[in-house]
Amino acid sequence: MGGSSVSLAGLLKPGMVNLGLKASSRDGILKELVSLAPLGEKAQHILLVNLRQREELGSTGIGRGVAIPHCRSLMLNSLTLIAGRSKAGVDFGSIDKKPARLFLLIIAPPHDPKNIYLITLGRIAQLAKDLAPNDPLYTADTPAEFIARLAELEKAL
Amino acid sequence: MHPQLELLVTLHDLELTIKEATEDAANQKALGFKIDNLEHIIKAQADIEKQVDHGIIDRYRKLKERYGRPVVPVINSICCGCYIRMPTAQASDTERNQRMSTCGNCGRFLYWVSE
Repeated sequence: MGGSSVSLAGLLKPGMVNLGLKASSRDGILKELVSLAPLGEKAQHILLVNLRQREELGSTGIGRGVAIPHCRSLMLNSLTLIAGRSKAGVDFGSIDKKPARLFLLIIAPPHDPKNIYLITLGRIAQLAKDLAPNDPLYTADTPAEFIARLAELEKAL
Repeated sequence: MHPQLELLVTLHDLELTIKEATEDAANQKALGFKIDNLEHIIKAQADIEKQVDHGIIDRYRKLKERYGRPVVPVINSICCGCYIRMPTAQASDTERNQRMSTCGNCGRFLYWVSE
């Protein structure tokens, strides 16, 4: 699969979007996001441990209010994208030191011969870097609207 | 999940993150991600290793040296390490991740993703 055929909007299901994240800490946000993954409690915990460690390694907050937590994990057998939004914003140790409001979590299985994970990660980062502070992604009222806007942004990439 | 299996899959995932941070660091940084505290995650890796039984961690290391990935998922009764179908009795074992199991063909530790 080539880079151009990785559809973020196609990956993101409405049930994987939380537009009202409540947590006020980095770890709390990660927990809320992971809770949307189709996994049992134990598997979610293992995933959370790895995501936290990834953040300890260095923040995935890339600035402009966006963070892209990511890791590979045995817990999932397909590439999974989860999105969340915090109205107040959370200190995520971002590069520009500003609070993160938009979170795009990506998890990939270890076995990924076509390297779709890194292609997708690059695509999300590229999209996020060009995101305006007043982009409709920050104001979408429903997961469906959010995903539709994501699809629009992808077309412009 | 068996406590030792939980430690192994946690260790395995952490090692994937370390591998990515070292082998793909330039790309990750170019995308805007920070990688500046490798020591922390290596310490976390060592802390988990200490909790794994000696015999199991020895086997894990040997498998890692041989195959790269010592723990593999079982999907649709197939070992994702060597792609051998699990014997029916083993694949239908309702306890699955409640015990430590290895592939009868390649010897890798097995994790059933569907749990």
